[in-house]
Amino acid sequence: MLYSSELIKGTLKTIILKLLKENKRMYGYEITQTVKELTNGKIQLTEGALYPSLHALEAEGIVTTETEYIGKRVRKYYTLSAAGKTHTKEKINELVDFMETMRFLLDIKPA
Amino acid sequence: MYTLSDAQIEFILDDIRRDGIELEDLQLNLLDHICCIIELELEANGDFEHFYQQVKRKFYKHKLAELEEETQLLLTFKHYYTMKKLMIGSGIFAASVFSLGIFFKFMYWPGASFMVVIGIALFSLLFLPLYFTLKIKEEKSTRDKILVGLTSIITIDISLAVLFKIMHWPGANVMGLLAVVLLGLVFLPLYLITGIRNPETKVNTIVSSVMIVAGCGLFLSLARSPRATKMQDEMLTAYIVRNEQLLELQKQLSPIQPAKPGNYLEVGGELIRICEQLKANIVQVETGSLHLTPNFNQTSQYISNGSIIDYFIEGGSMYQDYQQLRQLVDQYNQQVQQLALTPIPSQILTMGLPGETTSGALNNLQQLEQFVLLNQQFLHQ
Repeated sequence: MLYSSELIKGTLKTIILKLLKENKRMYGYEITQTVKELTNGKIQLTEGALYPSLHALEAEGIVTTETEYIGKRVRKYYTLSAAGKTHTKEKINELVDFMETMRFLLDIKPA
Repeated sequence: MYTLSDAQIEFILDDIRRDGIELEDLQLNLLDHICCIIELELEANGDFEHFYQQVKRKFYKHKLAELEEETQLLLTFKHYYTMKKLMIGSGIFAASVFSLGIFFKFMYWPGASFMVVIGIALFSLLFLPLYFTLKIKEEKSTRDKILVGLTSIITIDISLAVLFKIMHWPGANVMGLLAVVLLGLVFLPLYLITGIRNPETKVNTIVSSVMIVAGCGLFLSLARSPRATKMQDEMLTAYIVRNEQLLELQKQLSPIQPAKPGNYLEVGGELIRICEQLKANIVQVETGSLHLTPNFNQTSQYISNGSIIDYFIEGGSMYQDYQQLRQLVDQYNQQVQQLALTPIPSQILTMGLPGETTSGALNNLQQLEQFVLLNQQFLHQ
């Protein structure tokens, strides 16, 4: 089962940040592939959502970038900045808290 | 495993550019991403063209430019929030510092003008520009954008004019006048003509226009006209010239005696000399000549009630003489008390205090001389 894009949208940044925290330095394609592998293909990040978010994170100073030449093309690697590391913790805690609330909310059985 | 040629890479880059991806960073990211997919997923002898179109198609719903739009939106949003935060922060800070500065000013506590300047400067040069930039972005029609732009210029101008006025910096009146002219002759006609045509905004436009006219009227009724200022200056100068004539008569009646050691008149003569010097200095900075003449009206040399404190505080050009004057008044008063004469009231020395005016300082110096001369006359009777 593939999750709907609405569900992914709200958690996309947290997923990216967590991956960067684990793997230090990643590029766009690598991120989509890693997520796909880790979730057995249940979560497939779309390019249309991933790249705008990466650019926004860079503009906010949460991630820093370095470029490397791969033959004729350029590859952009993303790394968490110092501020990004604290931000990642906050985002993860927030999501965990949210999931617990959701579990509680969905557990309500009609009387 | 497919190997891409340089020409194919060039082709992909050109293609995504044509499809509306303008941000260079985004172009490079997408190029690398597409290349990765092709290299890893297409077989060595696969159909590049066909596979590329398939891969690209998975990136968007309607067109590739969606990625560019989404990225731009997220980037502006980020600035939008930073600007909004900065606007609110600077606004609260400016308003607090300004209010505190005004309170200090009322209480005559030190640091007042520093706080007032910082408060108004932050308000007019940081808060207002940010507020209006955000507001212009929110407005949809060009007419509203122009009106908000004009409002911002006028508001910043008024705010700075007030700052210049209370700090006695030059140019305040010109700035105030400019604001009224812009408001009355540019903003109001534009606002009225464009707003009155639309039945929905007609009533609001008329009410707001009446408010603006009334506001300008109230503002102008508080300002003194140039003619009134001239009349007041004429009156003040006439007082000072007449006092000077009286002082001259008094000097002829009781001329300063030659100074003798141990005689209090040594101090009296010195007091008269310093007073004359200070008066000449004040008259010079105010009118350009050393003395006022009874026909000051013809030469347009007027004494105003402008502030004079800058010359008398530490570092001012008359500070030294003023300090000496204060010491001499103390010495003089000690000697005069022994002779049972009238001491010079200390309230007469107001030149270094905030609020002291040119005419006030000249009057006080003239009265100080009168005390010295009249005491001398008593002593010689």
